Amino acid sequence: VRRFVLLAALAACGDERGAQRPAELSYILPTILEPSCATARCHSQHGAAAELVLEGSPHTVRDTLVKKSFVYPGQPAGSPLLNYLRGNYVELRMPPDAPLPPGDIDLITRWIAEGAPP
Amino acid sequence: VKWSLAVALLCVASTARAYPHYQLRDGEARCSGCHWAPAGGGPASAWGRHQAAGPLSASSWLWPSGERSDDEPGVSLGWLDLAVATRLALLRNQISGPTGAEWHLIPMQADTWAHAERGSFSAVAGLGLNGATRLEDQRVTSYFVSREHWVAWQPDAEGGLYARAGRFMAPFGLRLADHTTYVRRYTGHDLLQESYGASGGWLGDAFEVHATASLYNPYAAAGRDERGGTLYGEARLGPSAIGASLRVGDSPRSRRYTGGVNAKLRLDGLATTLLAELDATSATFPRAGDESREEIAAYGGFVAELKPGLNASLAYELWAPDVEVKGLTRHAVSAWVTLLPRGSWEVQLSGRWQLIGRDEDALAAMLMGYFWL
Repeated sequence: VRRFVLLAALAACGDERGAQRPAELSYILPTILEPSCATARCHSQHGAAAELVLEGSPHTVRDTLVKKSFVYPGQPAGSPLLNYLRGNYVELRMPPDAPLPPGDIDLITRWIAEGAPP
Repeated sequence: VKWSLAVALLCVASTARAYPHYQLRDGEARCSGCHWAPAGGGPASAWGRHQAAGPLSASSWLWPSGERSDDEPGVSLGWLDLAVATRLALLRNQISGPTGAEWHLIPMQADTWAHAERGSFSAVAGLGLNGATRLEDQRVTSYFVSREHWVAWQPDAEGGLYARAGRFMAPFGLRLADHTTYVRRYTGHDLLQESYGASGGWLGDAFEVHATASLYNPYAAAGRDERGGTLYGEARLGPSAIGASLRVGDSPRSRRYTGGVNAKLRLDGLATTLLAELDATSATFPRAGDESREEIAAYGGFVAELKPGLNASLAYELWAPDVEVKGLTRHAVSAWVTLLPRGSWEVQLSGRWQLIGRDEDALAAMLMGYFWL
């Protein structure tokens, strides 16, 4: 139902391509998270800021996000990752230099809502 | 309002200190005229620092009686040239949403540079502080980084053929189009993203060509395991220059093919340089079933020399990471004023407002000091 609602909302905005983007970490990781978050000084293996590494295989990063309680699969409203990306209840919105565009946050929301598949 | 002294917030990293408007100002058509690197960029050569202390600085009208030559930074010991570069910035970042404005004091750079030259061969090495390493990594070496170190061969110091190998930033366009996101996140041109590779080219008065093969980037996630190359050519005609660039990057994460054009036009009567750049990329993601997307980045603006050493710029920038998806495109207006009171230091005040997707926006203002010792 959640997926239908999200896809319907995107379709209503006339954004078919946005609705077709895969809500899988295998897509989200190379297109959004690694370029935006795993930069050399931040959440890369080299920087490991806040001891959080957001690069590697989708399975590894997915496990990291779940084990560290940044993502609760199926529960986007309760997942702290989205609070960081939206700036809700946190001191510093991520990424700190420029926030992700709403379309990317929508995709990550959909990914969590669909169980956060790798 | 929150304050933080940034060690961790070195993540915010730096903006480009790219000033292509100097290129056509005094007939120094080649960037290598003022930089050690054959394609320009990076540390300035002794001649470049001499220019910074002379016609490019405001010392002539700020301190008319000053001795410019005494203010040239760096030390030249014949075949060996030494310099230290430091940068400190105060950033105010206002992003739409509940977090409000943030202030950051950012030590951006502290690098020592050495350049040695013997006959046709030259070498450059930099060693600086590394602001972000694993907290559990307590080795002293983890606090230092050498972002560039390379050797070059150029039989004719005035131009012609050259070759270079080592760690350096590959020549690729102006790198001005949405530097914050497109350039730093997607083209392998962020801080610490200098790759190991080899480069060769031709430096002429009317044109120059640079071909670079990038083999390994020890730090950055998006480019560490990327193999690829860039090709950059620039032709100059009078007060103008037109450049074209190609970039290919292949890694298990993505395959990227980028083509770009840029143009520079110096209007002497107005002491102004017009700058424009357009990049288009086709990206494919093998781990996501070969999903693909088309990207566009653009820049258009000008730099006006209000007085010697006092420059101002205004520009529009565009970055669309997927042209078919709504809600991703960034539009930005950026402006800066730079004052070079002396050859060894510079102060820049900059601002950048961006509209992100449909309804997000961000406004950043930064005061940056740049000091050469």
